Amino acid sequence: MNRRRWIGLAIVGSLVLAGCSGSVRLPGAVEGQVPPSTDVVAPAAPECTAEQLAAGDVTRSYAPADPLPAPGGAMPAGSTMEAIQQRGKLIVGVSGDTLLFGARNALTNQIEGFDIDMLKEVAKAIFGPDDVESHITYKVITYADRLPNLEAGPDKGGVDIVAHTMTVNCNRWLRIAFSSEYFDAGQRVLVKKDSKFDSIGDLNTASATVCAPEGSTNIDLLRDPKNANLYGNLVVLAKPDVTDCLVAMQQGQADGATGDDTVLAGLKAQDPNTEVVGKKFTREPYGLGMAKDKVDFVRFVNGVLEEMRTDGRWQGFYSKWLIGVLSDTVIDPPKAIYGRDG
Amino acid sequence: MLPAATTRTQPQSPPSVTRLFARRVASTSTPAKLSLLRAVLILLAVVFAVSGAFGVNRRANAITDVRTASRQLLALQDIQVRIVHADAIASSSYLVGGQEAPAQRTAYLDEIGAAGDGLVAVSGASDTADLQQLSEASRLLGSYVGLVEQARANNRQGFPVGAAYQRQANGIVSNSDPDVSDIVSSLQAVEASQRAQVNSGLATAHRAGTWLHATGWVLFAALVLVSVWLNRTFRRIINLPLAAAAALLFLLMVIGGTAQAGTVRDADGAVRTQLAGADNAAQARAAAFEARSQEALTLINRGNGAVNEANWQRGNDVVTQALSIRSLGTANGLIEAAKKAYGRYSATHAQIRTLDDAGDWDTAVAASLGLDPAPGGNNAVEVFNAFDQNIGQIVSDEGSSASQRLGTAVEPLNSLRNIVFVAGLMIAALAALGCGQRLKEYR
Repeated sequence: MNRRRWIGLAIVGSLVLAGCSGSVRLPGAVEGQVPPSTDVVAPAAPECTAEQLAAGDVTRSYAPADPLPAPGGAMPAGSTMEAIQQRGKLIVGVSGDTLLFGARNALTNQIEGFDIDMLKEVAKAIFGPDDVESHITYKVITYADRLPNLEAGPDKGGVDIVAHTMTVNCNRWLRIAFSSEYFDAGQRVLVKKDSKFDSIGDLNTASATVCAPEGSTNIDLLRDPKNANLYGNLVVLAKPDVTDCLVAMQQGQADGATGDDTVLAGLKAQDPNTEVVGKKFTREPYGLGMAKDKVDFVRFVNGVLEEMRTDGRWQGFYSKWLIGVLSDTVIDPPKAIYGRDG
Repeated sequence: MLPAATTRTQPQSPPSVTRLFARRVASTSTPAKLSLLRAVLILLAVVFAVSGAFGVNRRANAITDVRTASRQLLALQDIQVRIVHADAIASSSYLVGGQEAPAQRTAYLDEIGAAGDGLVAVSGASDTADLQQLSEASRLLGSYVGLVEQARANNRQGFPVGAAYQRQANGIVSNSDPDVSDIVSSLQAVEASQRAQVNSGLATAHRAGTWLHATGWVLFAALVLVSVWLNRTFRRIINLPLAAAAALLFLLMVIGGTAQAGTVRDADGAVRTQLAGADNAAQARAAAFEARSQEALTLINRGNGAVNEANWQRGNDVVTQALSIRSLGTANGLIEAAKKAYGRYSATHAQIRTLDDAGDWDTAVAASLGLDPAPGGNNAVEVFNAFDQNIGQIVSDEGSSASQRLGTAVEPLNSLRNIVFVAGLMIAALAALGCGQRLKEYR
């Protein structure tokens, strides 16, 4: 090997020693992945035909059980109530943040409200009046999860009954069964006190921003092209939850929020600088939801509600939760309509 | 009519510069050649002194830059951990409402305070783009604190709207919603920028070695060739000054080159093991605190918590990936202990979800907050703290080692830079002396 080659080799070797080869690299940040959802895509919800829609009052439910079994006594053999009694727990689906109807009390950690008291009365009728809380399993569910939980049933992770400010309507009757109407609600608007708005019409005229929960019937109504003449000028702000709408109002992102008057009453109770204004511009009759095929249970619950209407318990619960918020005096409970075949 | 074609003669190509130079050199007298070679050697030696020292200095500066960026990266991760830790405390405290333990409140305030101080400290050493992100993080931190106070005030009065504020506060910290500006995304952008600076600093350190070696070996070759020419022209066995210069240069290139290569290897090692280890451990720690926060939110939102559980899964994935990266293997038993503790926490979280989904919210909350009085009951706090202690120790140990090792790597380069410069000038002097001895013979 000649001298030139030696020099060349020395240079190359020296450069390698100097570390001219590729340098170490600090890797980038670790990216986390969410495992793919195993949820089955829900089939499209069935819708009532024009004939079904015209068939009469949607609040028509099954005739109440008469007489009702004694509270805590033997339930009819093979009935849904007997199965619940043997299980020792009534599994209920409720809201966790609808103040006055179904919300966690931060001081006691108990879920409480008008809806919850309705369920407690049903539980008392099955298990007797003592220690009713020990016989109820609360499952806090979203608006969207109300029907699927009833369709699944308690044996498949669902619930026996739902009390969740749920409006009775024809489409829902195709999937579940309802009790008789236990509360007559309607859609109204919440605005800042001393604002110039006295109704949804005022907000529409002023092209104001109105917040409503995404996926709710309330927001569907505002967005429906058929209602463009009534709500077409509104700037609609969609939020995941109705309490997010109160936050939006408090942060100045929205001039008002719309929802059932029952829900808005709960928001108003959390912020004295707001008020519920205008007349109800929709009718939202509430019913307790149960599985479509548990007609015996629906009749039983209707019997319990009928007793509450007549013995003053319903009025007592109204007084406990809603006096001074929704009205200044106790109102009469909505009249039950029966006669559904089943 | 077209003009008649003119005949062109092809011009002779001019002789090239190299050929002209070779002819000129061949026709030049020996003393003139000697003078020319002396000038060339002196020039090459001076170039070697200056550019060699410059290259060594550049490598030292590049490694110092790597060290600065790595410290900045670790400081940013510390801020991120403090903020997500504060958020985990705030979310957990929300679950107990007015019963929040004073120590929890103090810990929350301490973490927010330290994060604010940290943001000020890192801003001092940041470029414009990073500064914008840090300024955004500072602004969001202010909003976050306000929202947490709103959530707390509402929660203490029993108002469910507090949960909406707590959700919004978490959205400002966590990068779970791409449509919402958040602190973690801002900090991660600056962290990515610091990682890029670490990498570009290391690449510069590697390239900087070329200056010393390219000029050094060219000079060495010139010294050898001139020595050979002198040997043939003057029939002398050896020209002592030139031989000394070549020997000095050779020694410098071997010893100095090796030392220089050692420093860059040290820097590589510090980044590949200690810094990468600290980086991964810090990412695992931040993601774990985010997961803890999401766990509390699944319980706060009750039924609406599916999004938070998905976010928990994402955080869990980051922790699992970061803990399995090989560079963490250098942290001896700590990593195994951290992995075991995290596995126990992950199992406890699964229990919490099972309890909550089955309607036993109270027991699920007690398990998440470590308040389950039942013997052998689930205690997420205990297992999570065990994980945090281990992973925190890894971040601290590996981070300190990386910084120390990078600092040590630079030290020999400062001496080497001075040696290269002085040696280059000495070689120039020896070359002048060696050629000068032969020139004297013509006077």
